Amino acid sequence: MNRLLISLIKIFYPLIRNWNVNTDHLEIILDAKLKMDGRRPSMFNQRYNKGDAKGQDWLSMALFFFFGLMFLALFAAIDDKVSAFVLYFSGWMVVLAMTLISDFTEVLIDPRDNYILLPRPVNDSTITVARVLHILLYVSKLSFAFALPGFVFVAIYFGITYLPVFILQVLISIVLTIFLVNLVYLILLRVVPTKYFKEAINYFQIAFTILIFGVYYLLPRIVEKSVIENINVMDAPVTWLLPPVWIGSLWATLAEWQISPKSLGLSLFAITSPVLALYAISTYFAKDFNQRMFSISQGGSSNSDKPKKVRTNEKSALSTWLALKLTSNRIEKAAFEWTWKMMQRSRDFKLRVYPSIAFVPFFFVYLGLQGDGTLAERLSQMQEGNQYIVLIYLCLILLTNPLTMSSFSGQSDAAWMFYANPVNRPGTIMLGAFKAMIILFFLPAYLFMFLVALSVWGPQVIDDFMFGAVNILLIGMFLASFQNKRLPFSASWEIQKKGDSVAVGLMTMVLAGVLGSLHYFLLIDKTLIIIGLTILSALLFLVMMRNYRQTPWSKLNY
Amino acid sequence: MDELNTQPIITIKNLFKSYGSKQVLKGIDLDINAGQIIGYIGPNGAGKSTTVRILAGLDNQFKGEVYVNGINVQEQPLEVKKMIGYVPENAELYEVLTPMEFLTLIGRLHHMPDEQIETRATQMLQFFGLGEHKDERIDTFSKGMRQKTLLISGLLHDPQIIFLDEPLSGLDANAVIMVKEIIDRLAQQGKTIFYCSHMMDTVEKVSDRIILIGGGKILADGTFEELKKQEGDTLEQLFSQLTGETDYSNLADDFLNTFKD
Repeated sequence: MNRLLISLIKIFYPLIRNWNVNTDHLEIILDAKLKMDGRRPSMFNQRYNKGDAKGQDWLSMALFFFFGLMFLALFAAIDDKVSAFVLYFSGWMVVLAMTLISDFTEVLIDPRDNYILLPRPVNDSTITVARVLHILLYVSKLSFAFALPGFVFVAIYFGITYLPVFILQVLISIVLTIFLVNLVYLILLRVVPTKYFKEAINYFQIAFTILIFGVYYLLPRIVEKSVIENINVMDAPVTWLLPPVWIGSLWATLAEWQISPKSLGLSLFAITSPVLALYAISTYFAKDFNQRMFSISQGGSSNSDKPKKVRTNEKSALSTWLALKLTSNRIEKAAFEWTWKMMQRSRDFKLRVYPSIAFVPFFFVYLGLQGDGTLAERLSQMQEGNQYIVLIYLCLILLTNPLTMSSFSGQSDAAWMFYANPVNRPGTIMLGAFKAMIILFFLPAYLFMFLVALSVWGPQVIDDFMFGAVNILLIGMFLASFQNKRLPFSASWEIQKKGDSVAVGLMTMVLAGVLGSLHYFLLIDKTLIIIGLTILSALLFLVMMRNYRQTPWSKLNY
Repeated sequence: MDELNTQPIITIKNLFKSYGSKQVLKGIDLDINAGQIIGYIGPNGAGKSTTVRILAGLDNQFKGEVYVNGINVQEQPLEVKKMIGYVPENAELYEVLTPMEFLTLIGRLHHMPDEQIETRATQMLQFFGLGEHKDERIDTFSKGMRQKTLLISGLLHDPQIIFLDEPLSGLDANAVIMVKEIIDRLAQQGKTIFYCSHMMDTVEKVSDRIILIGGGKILADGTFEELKKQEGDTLEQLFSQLTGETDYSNLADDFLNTFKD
């Protein structure tokens, strides 16, 4: 496919040569870059083994093809086709923009260009054009995959003569999306200090992950069929500000011949905005964009902008205080504080753990709003039941997810220090880390869920949340002592086997299910309390037994 | 004669080590007295880092006997770790931490009181010119700054025996002079320094005793003066005579011939 794309570009060589570009160099650079794209793990597939991450570009394309297919459902659900187009292109632009920001930033600020390409006899315009074409090819691959189902759909449903309109719409949406991404970069570069640019991108990635499964789980539940059937996006003038509405109205004008001042005006926007956007990108944005991007890729170690000091008073004071109160010896205390900082600062950890905090309410709403009736009916049904028990046990993920993920780090080799220094028992460090996870992740999120439940169901939830918290801690401890036998941040992501986390996830689910349903039945039949406590005690007994078996020599009395 | 000189602080007897079928160390015998600076040199892959890892109690899969200050490393690695400082080669650091935070963690692992860690780490960082950067994250550091942090982490708890694996890598000329000076002073205080490197010129300047290994065996052992009498004028010549092909000028000619096409 890459060869094909490059030969497509070859058609434009006579034009490109006019810009003082060495096309031989251009071809070599593009070839290498596209090859690397295929081996770069993407947002959608973070687990990979070195060496066999191939065909990642195909994977992304397959995913976008799937998105394109899914979004077609809008046309089946919505009567007003223009509104369907608006929503279709809204979804598309958001997905593309988020992908560009979260996945492609790494490519954009790749510092290796400066070491590998700049010292060679390659001229500047060749590098610039190669970079632009690289982005363009990347986007066009994704766009092609996404638009393919739509293309077929338009041809069959509306007729082949409508295809040019659709293609025009796709092209405009791409240009506008790239413009918006540029705008985001520019704002980030202005607002966020260069040093923290990557951090900001990290939060984008987190937001993106949350958005994706939020849309996947929530939208179908919240949106009511009767409403969506009759939706007309253009009714509210506020929406006229949104680019997808312009693109949608293009369909009204060019395909359905609805000629009105509104549709004509919006269509005019659709046609002119890409031209303006291209102009803005090439003149205004390009100016100091490269310069700033370059300074980011330098790791911010330039003298001009001084790295911000890590605040040592407030935040860490809290963790120091907590560590002092909650740990029983100095090593454990050190581990507590260290894990606390690592969890707050490691980008890869945050990316994998923070979205799970959003997962709990999303998944709960997804489960809770199942059934028939209008949204209001289902909501009141939910309020009458005891479904907050489900919410409680979903929170287990807030403990097990950080527990699993905290074993891994991009700098796992740095764990040498635990082996090189006199650490009597690694368990001390693991326990300190475990406590930090409880305090930093589990408790605040659980408290939040509790407050939500309190406001929905009233004071009856208080004892249940207390019981639930203890149960979750017990399950967490159980999993920690049986499953997770690694020092925090000591294993590389590459060894994180899919099977590993699936096993933990499965065990978590089973335990949560058993304890949760037990808890649920306790509410109905008080005699079950005995059985419930029996199971809990048995679990406790197992843990204690295990502990007893590991009694070290130093604990014996002579 | 005091006891230190009669009883070696490091004793290695008949040390064999292999990774799978590949034998890395083939019978090393060594006695080292306290207060000495040992230059442990050899070509790439000679087994230098492996020896140091074993001495530091990080690897107990070996054959032979290794004692550090009279303690059997294989049996009581933890006791050994308490009294040594180890600076690994090109070691990774948790870069999201600041040097102060990193050193605090290390100090606590050695059960040092927090106040002591604070004052000592601050002084040491200042000494290496990192005082201003002590609360900045390591991921903003240059290679030299990281290496300095690493060096400090090995010295923080005032160890009796110090293992340095390529400690000068990435350091600029001033820092190199400083580290050499520190090594000298530490030895004067009676500390033993085991200095591992393939950079011959620094080794010959700092070391009291040079041990040259190659192919998993000790090839030469003595002071620089002694070794000079034995073979060539410089350590480099000795090195190439003992470990490699001697006719480098022919090799270089062959290399240049590849351009003739």
